Amino acid sequence: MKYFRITVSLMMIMVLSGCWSSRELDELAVVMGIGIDKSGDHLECCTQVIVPQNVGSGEEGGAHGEKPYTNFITEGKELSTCISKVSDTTGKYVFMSHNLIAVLDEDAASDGIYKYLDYLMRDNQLRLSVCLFVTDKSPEEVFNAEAPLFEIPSINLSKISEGFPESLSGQNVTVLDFINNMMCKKKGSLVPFITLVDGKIKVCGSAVFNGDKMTGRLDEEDLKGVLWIIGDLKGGDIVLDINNNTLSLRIGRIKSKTFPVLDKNGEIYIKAEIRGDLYLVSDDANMINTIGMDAVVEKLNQSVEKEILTSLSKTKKMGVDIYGFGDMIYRKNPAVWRAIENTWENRFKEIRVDISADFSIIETGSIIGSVKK
Amino acid sequence: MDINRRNMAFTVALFLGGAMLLTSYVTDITSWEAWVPALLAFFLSFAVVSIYLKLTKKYPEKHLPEIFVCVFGKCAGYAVSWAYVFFFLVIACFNTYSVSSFFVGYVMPETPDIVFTVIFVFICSRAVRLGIENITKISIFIFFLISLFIILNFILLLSQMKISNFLPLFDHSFYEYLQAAHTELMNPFGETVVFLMFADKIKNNDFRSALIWGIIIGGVMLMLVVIRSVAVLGVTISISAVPSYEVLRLINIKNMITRIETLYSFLLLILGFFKVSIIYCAISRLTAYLTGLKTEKSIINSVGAFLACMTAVSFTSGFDSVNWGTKYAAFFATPFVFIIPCFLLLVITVKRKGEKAK
Repeated sequence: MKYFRITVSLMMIMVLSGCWSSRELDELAVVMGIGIDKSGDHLECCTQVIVPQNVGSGEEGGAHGEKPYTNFITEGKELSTCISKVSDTTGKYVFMSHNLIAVLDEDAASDGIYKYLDYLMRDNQLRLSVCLFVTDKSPEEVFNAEAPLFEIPSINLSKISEGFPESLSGQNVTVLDFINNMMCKKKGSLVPFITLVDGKIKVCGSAVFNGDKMTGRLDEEDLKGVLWIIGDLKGGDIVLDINNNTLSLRIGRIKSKTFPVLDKNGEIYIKAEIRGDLYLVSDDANMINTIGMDAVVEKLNQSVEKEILTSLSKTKKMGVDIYGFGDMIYRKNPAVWRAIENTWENRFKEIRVDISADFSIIETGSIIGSVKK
Repeated sequence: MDINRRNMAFTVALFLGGAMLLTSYVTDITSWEAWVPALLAFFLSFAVVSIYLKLTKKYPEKHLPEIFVCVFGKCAGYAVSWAYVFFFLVIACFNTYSVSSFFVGYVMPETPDIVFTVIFVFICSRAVRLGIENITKISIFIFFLISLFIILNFILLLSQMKISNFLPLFDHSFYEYLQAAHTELMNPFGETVVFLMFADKIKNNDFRSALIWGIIIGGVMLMLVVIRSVAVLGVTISISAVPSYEVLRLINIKNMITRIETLYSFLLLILGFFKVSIIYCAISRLTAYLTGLKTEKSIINSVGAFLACMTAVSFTSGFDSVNWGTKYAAFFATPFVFIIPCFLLLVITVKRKGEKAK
């Protein structure tokens, strides 16, 4: 009995310590980003794998000036088979747990990304916090882009995505966000659109998705108008033109409230209220003192309202409810939604949206007046 | 008496907490409104538990098979008791498989199911050998650990929670709420019928308050987990296999506090161990009583071996067990959890009235 207990205990130590499933770092191909490139029926996957020995070993990127990452290009019918092929090339176990981003080329996005999302959600190693991007370049080019402040382009992209709430240039969209949008009532999605300029990554608006298919794009200016309503903004700069003079403001805190209203005639319209606190960053023409704080704020409110309306008219033309107005109606009043659900695409194009922007400039900086006399 | 009231209450709470892994059975049906059937089941569980409490009040300090024998006679009493052995075996096997498939799926992907199952059951058997009294003694400490972790990750996930994820309210059909509440009521709340096997080890009044407080504490813990998952995942919760684990994978505080789900998986293992050990204890006691043994110690290993074998052959995959848990488990449990205890109470009441009339 004693020997039996000792044997079983030893067996338990072996199994329960996780040794059975253990893998040494040098046996792993740690994936930081995956890129999906599709043309016709041909699926190509670019997998960015970290090279641990070259990480953090000098300015050049490695002990011997080598890159701390390698991109593997594999082909296959499914994303899962493409990624598995990395193992065939490297002989290492493909470890997806640290994957940060998924970059889709325009063709893959237009063709529908549901099957890729299914894989990204089903794989036990992957997290729902993987950030999505769409690009007009090949994912391989994106994964070889210069990342001045980061050693690995995937980390650079992930940081760009994390920084979106601090700017007015995009929205951080994770796999969870996208799937939630897809499962909502006829809600479209926005995914940051990136391109390459001088070998560096540049965010240029958003790709617009209807369901799982990309149906259009919004440029930076149009996107701003959308972000005022749906963005979780915590920063970003606004440049205001007043009488041929410019005034620069920084967003401190934005609180946007959008809700559907049923009027007396039984018609539904949307009310969007944007409140925010801003900081004055530059006012070289001393507009604050010349025309007064109230007039500046009034101009600012009008400017933002105009920006929102311009974007709204463009997105209405696209016929994709990226604001989630339909979903808001459903959440507030499911019965009303059921009555209009079948005709929502047409109704969205004509729906009335009342916008009211109400900003405050709460800080004017370290100087009173202007440097210019 | 061997077990005190406080230990028993926290044991019941942890027993209910063992169902944290299985919240997808309800979220699959009512999605973002999973909290509604969970709340409904929580309140209905008091009605179900009141039946058990009445049984123990009428037969104080007797355990379940003893009550069966007293009421139905030796022959029928034994037959019903054997049916309960089967029921306890099935729920033990189901819970063992759930823990095992979760660990093999998420934490130890290379380890074969059977190895994990055998080791898990072996550890449970060691605990059972020490007796229910000793298992209950560690309940407070484990409960403290689990609740601390739940509160902590609730706070860490606050920034990702959205109130709008709970809307619209009451948009599912009555049938869907009923189905989900039935599932939740039978598993885990109804499974507390297993504690009737230990009613003789605790003072009758203590048993009453321990069961009720255990359900309140455990129910609140489960509700918190469901609410947290809905608030973070929203409608996506309906397609998530283990929502309570999935939300923890999203915790990322400035890239410093991340990947704490491994810690959670360890706590889930403890909860699973606690739940299976209690059911295992009940099976051993019940079988020992029915086979006329003075103590269950001599059959613990045999019961464990049988449980491990049954777990290995009963489900072919995690999908299989989830499918069974969502669609059939509640219906399978209903006779044992509700109908037979009700019938038993009815017979006792009629018999007592007949005796009084005589």
